[in-house]
Amino acid sequence: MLALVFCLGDERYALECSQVVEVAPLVPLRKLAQAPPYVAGVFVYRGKPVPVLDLCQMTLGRPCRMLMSTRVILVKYPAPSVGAPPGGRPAGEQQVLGLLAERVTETTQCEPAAFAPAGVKADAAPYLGGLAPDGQGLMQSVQLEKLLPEDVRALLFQATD
Amino acid sequence: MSEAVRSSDCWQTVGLSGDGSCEKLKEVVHCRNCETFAAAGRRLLDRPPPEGYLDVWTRVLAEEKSAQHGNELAVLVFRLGQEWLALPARLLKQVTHPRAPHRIPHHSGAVAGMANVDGELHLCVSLQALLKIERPEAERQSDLAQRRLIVVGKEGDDWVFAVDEVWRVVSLDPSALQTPPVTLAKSLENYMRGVVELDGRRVAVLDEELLFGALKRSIR
Repeated sequence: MLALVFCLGDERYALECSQVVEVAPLVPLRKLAQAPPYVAGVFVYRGKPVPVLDLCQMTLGRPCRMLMSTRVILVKYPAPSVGAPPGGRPAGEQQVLGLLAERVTETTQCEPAAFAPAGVKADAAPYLGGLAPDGQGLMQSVQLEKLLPEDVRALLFQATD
Repeated sequence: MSEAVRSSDCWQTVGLSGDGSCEKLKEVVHCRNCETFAAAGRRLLDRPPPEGYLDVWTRVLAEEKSAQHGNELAVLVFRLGQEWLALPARLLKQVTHPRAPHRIPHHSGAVAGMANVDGELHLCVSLQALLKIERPEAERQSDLAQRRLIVVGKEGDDWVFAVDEVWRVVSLDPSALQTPPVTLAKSLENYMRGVVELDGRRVAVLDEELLFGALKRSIR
């Protein structure tokens, strides 16, 4: 598979490219009140507001640096087929979600089977998957479907009607 | 990998811009093929964005994408007499210099004769006769240098026709095609998909099925 490689701090992470819609520069975001700190804000993407999560804040507890290599990865966020929040969108419908990460400048070819379990499963970061070696060390896969807890998902993807 | 190769500007010291002593050059030939050079290039992005850059991108990202990707129609725009015409560019095989076709006895109208293109004989047709486009006498003598012969292929058949000028290939949105104005020649209207304005030219986009269908019937 082709994977988009990015950094959170010094460590490298990989996201499967088939889930990525577009990679955009870090545009000014509108802050959302009462949202968790890792919700960086909202911006208008192709005529619709799209929420953006700061993966650095989520994983490291500090916001992404304001650099040109810090970019918004627009992904197809898979809405879970079961347990859709009441009043939320229909199950299975795909949403666009922005992920803020550092050094989003590379893609790499890798085998999905190359990602071996990390051995340590952090309960606070269930979205971090297996580890795979590449030329410069280990990169860890990011699993979109485990990214958001239910309550945050309900907050970000409320029914618009 | 030696320490020099790891340094941030090794291409200036041991690379091609330096003394060329880098061991890796034997393998990658040029610094631009080297992973170290590529990584240094990506590090250029680790700096604050220039002023105005993000404002432009905010606007670009907020807009809906105008033309759906893969939906565009690429057409070759050419001129016959006073009329600008266009045909889908995927049919195009060649644009070449004009030559006089060899006439075929007992054929006239849409059949102009046979033309030799790269050693192959092709049937040369006259779009001008089929579409009944008029050319003023003065026009026939001028602009000789701009005349071209166009070779198109459609379902295994090659067709050659002469035009007065070839402009260029244009990518357009099929939904932007307008219905032809009433002032347009009726014979031309029969063979077209629609009209589009390009740089002040009113271009008639021809329908390949109708056009080549009519040409096929005319040579029987």
